[in-house]
Amino acid sequence: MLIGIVRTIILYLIIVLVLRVMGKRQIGQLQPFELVIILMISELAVIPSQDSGIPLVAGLFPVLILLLLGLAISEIALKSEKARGIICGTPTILINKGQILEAELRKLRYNLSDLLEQLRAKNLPNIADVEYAILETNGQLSVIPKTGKRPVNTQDLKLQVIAEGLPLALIMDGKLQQKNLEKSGVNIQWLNKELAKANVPNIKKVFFASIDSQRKLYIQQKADPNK
Amino acid sequence: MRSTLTIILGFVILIGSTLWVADRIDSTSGAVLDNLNQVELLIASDKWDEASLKIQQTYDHWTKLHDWWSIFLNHSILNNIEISYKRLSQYVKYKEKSHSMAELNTLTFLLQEVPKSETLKLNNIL
Repeated sequence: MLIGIVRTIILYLIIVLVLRVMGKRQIGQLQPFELVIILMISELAVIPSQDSGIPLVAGLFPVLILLLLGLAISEIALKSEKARGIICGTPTILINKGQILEAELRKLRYNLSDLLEQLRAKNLPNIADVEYAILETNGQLSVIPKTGKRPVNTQDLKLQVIAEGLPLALIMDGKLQQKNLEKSGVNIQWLNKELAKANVPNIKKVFFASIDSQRKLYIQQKADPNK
Repeated sequence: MRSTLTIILGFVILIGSTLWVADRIDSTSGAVLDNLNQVELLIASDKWDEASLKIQQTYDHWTKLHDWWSIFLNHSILNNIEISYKRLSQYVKYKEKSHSMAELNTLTFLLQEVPKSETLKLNNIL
């Protein structure tokens, strides 16, 4: 029993590490070869954690081989466009210039209900509003609405807007984020002064503080535990 | 380029280590099998005390191997070998010739099967 616990902990930590090395994609964004690897890894990890008769090393070897295979295939797909087409497939246009391509739907066994469902999920309930719909290699549908149906942007309105930089978190849960402080171009004295202006006695009392490109500071104090 | 080299190195290390393990298992099991052949000759010539001593020596050697093999091999295979050893030593202790010979044959077979199951052969793959 205890062996099972220790084995499960070891396997869990190793699988987490393997998945971290594999990349940051979400399950829904996995390419077919990545999905197969994830499925196989999950199965392989369960076997040695359940059966103590199987050596842990024997269970980990296939996991490591799968990790290397996954990395190798990703590397090949990254470097060769032809290989990428074979491994990941190519995107397929399902709606072209407002016309549903029936033949493509049949070829992909993608029915109209699926298509309408995906369009609704993309906030386009009316198929007449869609100019292009492309089924990506990871199974997600990319939708381009007709010109008259797309949201208005600042360029359309000829508005001059200031480019917003990336806000940086300066204090998180009472702890100063030194790296972000250096990146933001302000110093600790400035920060302390700003905190004093906002009636915050010290950094430890701040739950979250961030600074934007305009040097505007956002501060939220920690909640009073006595309240 | 660096990541490609890392992947290749990873494959070389993993495949190399499995080949090394298979080779080590083959050579170490060979040494145990040689000792068991000597035990067979001793039993055939009714030298029970010498056979018993040889089995004990072989068993001591085996226990050292057992710890190492158990990292890579299914524990049930190793348990079967262990059980067979125990039976053999008791048969020899009570001078049961036919049983000793039969058990020795079983033990030899079990030990021969271990490296065989690790070799890269089509029947092992399929």
